[in-house]
Amino acid sequence: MSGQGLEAFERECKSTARNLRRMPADLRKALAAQVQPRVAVPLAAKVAQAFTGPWAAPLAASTKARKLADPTIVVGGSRRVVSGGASARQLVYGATWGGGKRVASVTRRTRRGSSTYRAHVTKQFQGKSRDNIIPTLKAQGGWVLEEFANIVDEVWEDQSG
Amino acid sequence: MADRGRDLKVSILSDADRFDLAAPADDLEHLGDSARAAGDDLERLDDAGRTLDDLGRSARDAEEDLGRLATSSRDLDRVETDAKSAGDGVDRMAQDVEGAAKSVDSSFDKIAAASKRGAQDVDAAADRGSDSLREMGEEGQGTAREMAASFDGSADGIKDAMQEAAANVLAALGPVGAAIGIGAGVAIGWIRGQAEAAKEEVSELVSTLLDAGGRLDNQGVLAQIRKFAEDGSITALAQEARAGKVDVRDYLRALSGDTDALARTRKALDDSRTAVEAEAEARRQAGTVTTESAQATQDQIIALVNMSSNLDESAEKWSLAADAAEAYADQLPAGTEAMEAAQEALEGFVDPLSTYTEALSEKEAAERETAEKTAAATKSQSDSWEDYVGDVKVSIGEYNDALEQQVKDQEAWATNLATLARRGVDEGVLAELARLGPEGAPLVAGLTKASDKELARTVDLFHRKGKASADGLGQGIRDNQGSVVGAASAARTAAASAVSAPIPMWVRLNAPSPGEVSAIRRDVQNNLRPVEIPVMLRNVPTSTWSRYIP
Repeated sequence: MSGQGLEAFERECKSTARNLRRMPADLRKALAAQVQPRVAVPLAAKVAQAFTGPWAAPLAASTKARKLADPTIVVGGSRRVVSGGASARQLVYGATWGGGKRVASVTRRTRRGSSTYRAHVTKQFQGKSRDNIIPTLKAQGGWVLEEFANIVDEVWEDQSG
Repeated sequence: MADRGRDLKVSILSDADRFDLAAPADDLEHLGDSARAAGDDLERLDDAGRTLDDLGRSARDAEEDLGRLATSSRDLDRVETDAKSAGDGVDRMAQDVEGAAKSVDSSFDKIAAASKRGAQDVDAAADRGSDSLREMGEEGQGTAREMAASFDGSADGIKDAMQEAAANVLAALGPVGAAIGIGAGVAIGWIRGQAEAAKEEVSELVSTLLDAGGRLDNQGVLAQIRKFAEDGSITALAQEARAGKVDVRDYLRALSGDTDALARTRKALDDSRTAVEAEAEARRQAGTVTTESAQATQDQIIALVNMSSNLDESAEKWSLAADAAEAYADQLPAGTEAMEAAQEALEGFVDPLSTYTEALSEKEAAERETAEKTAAATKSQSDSWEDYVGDVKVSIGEYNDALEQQVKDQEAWATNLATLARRGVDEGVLAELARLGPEGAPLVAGLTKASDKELARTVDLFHRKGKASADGLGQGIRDNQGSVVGAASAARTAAASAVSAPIPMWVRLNAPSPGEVSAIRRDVQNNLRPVEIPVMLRNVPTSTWSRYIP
């Protein structure tokens, strides 16, 4: 019951995103001009702050907010960010979800104890993966949607004069 | 190492299915804490709202009250901020749960587990949380269906959709969402209701005092007491008075604006309180204090304090009303004087009647002379001038009728101008009509009877032809309406200028004072009921009269 409602809500979010891409360019740009500083930039800062592990600093420096009507953040870039020459784009997936084809048992400690699970690991990204991005975005979902709705309201009022 | 692949890009709306939107309900224990915190905040909000009781008692100083309203708004904002942070906290709890998509089901498991532990507060939170989840599910489903059916792809549609979405997110926070939405809404509505009720009450008292000539006589006081009987509050008031050992009649009269009774009741209240405290002290010294006696003493003191508070509140209202009535009385002589001046000018305005009468008498004589000449010129010896003057008699009657109508129009001139103003005739045309003076009176009267379409056409023609041609236009309209109006004489022109002056004066007499205008603006801005606007101007556009306000 609740699940169906949530799925419908998610579908509506995606539908809204599609319609954002179809709306007149002027209106879309006006939205993007507000959404980037008021939503995307603070959200990117939260994500950057959440990185942990050996690649936290280069990944944090490579987290950017895009100027789009749909609040968007990007982690990556082709610039070399570590001494070995790897770019943030090459680091972010492995650092977040592990990497390679080798599957090994890893142990993850939580506040309620620890759990062991299997994950793709490489020599470079061995051990537990640290998904700091999605949980951070989940945690920020409430105010992001609310602020986005406020912005749409304001921009529409401005545009409709 | 080749730099292949793509950056990690996340768009909130496009990737909504990657986020667990039900996560806020995952940790019910934390939700319970949040709910309790929100409840505390609501209590504080209620306290803040209670302080706004003063709003009613301090209608004299609306600025101060609005300041308090702003303070309350800040409190509301703080509650909202607290609630948001609580909501963020709920979200953070979800981070530690693997398989976030199962969180809704697992939350119900936790409800069951919590019930088994018998933790009462967690149970309560669980109930609220499950209600919240159910509500969110149903709302989300309903909203999605509605939006899918009505979504037109426009920005307006997106706005509505996202407002719905945000509302659903707030609803998902359960008690926290209630703190933001329902709590704030109820509080604001309550505050506004209090302000409106108080304002209406004071306004009514002012009218009562004005009717009574500034001070209530015995009949007026009794009429007020009758209201207590009508609204059913008299029984409770009488019980209060008896409990406080105060004369019931004095208490009711004091609440009804009788200042002598107010003084007596206050003294009686003081005496009662002294007596109650003395009795309590005597019991304490005698060592005969029991739980019941202590409770009784406390109840009595509370009743006395309540009564005292009621008296203060009532006295404040009557004082405000008396001030307002006094201010009105102060302005009355000036208003009367101006009205008399206007009346005098209007009386001068009808002087042309004598001019007309004289002119008509002269015309009658001239007609008679002509008729006599005609009769003399005829060959018949039997005819006389009377055979030829019949038309003149009829003509005189018509002239007299026309003059009578004109005088009536002139007398109703100011009223007719006000009528035109109410019907939306703009200031420029009104000024032009006023400038026409007595000549324009039938025109003004005719315009008040014209249809909206014709009136609009006339206004348009006035604008197009401009000030210079207004006289000619007025004459044309008069002719079309069949009015009989003679040529303008010098006397009438003089009368016209005399009558033009009262127009701004009349508007001033009927327009709100600058203070009232400020109050109206403030009230409208705050979405409260506007204070009483003079009846004549209630339907007149503000732009018509506001320029006359100094």
